[in-house]
Amino acid sequence: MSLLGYVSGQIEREERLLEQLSKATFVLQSDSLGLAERVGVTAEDVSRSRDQVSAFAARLVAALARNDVDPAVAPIVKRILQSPMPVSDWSQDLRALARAAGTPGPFPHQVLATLSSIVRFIDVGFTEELYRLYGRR
Amino acid sequence: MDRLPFLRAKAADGELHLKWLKAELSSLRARAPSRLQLFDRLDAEVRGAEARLSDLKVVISAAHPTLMDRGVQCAHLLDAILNKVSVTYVGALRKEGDSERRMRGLVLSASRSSGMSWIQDIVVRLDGTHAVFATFPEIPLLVAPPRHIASLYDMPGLYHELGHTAFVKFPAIGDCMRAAVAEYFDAQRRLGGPLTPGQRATREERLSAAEQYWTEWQLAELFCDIFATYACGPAHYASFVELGLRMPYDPFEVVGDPHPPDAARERACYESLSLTHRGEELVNTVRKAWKAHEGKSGPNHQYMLRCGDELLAKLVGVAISSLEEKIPTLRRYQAALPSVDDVERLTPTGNLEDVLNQSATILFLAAEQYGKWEGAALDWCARLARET
Repeated sequence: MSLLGYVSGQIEREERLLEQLSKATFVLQSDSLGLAERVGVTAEDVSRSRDQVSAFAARLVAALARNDVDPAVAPIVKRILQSPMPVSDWSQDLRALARAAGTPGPFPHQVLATLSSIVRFIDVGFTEELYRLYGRR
Repeated sequence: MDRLPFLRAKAADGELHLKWLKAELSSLRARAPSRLQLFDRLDAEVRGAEARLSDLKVVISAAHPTLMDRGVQCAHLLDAILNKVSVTYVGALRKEGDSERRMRGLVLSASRSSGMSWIQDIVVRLDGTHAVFATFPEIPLLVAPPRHIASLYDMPGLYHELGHTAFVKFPAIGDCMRAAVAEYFDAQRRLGGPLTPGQRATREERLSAAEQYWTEWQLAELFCDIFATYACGPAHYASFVELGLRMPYDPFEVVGDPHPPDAARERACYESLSLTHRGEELVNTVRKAWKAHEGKSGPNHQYMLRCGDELLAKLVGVAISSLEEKIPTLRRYQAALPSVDDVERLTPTGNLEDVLNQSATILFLAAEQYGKWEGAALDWCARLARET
């Protein structure tokens, strides 16, 4: 039954990461769509989200370059390696994401699409673990 | 936009679920008002769920196709919080009776006597095999077999489960173990003598596969064995060996779950014992039985690559150094075991680790005395539980 011990211990970390990056993506998307005011997103939210996305993208680029086993990003690296897109293309897109997050101005559509794909990877991993613990069978 | 009805349904259900959950937590809190840390933590989770529900409603009201992913992710996050509070904790607390409360008292007394200072409270379910829900390492939910209320058999396994809470609470321990694995395999790569390029490539491929075997999951399980033996001493070693002897499969094989092979776990447990305890008759007797069990199979090449003795010893050393650095309050079990000649006169005494080590000595070295002993030991444990 130690499946429970390990999985339940890690899911909290995954929950925090998903919430942070899902929220940041929502903030940047709302801003880019001109919906910020309507959905209650402030300039401070945008700035914080940029910082979070920039830091995470840089961490992921580094992990891909080193074939890192950092447990916080290992599940995302695994999904990137399994995806049909070459790793070099992912690295290039993630570097563009980190650059865009660190540069004032609107996010290019393509860069937001990369961010959304990464957050979907996190969400898929998180819900897999969630249903390992609680899934209806 | 096709997902909008699903999001509306989740929001409607989430609202009702949260309303019920708050009432339920309030009623459970009233039944155990002294368990502030537990209920404060669960209430904080409920506030987190309310925030995710509020975010979900924002997405629903914006009704923009680009934002639908955020809505789905909020629904998943809401599910996660509701499940951990409702299914895990509320489910267990609603069923908590005298037996669960007594076991809670006993495990809490053990966590305090052995210096597991991060544990604030424990919720117990006596309806399954050993397991732990370690999401909140300070307030774990421990699952144990119902027989624990009437038997000490297998009880050292609880320390393995408590080890999971330490692994979550102190992530630096896992980092150190991962670094030790990388260091070991780097050193292996430098060995090998003169090889042709083809031989070198094959060797590299095998070493990489062996290194990749050690994910955080396998390291966590090995750490929990080390932790349990460190805190509970020979009683845990004997309990693990007894568990391994029940298994019909080859102890050098990985058998479909995240645990390392039993042979590697036995070595890790043995290496975690103090030198004095390794000389005890209990440990020698149990180890002899283990070696006889191992002798039916023998290590295969894959096992040797993945779980070499040198690597296991290194992992034990690193885990124990990390434990001592990160959790200075944690006490290694080092008490002397009772002499077999004295078991007829032995009365249970000390903390849970003492009682479990006394029990293991009698069970494995004087089994005929065990029936008489266990009743007195359980009475002593009930006293330990009451004193918590």
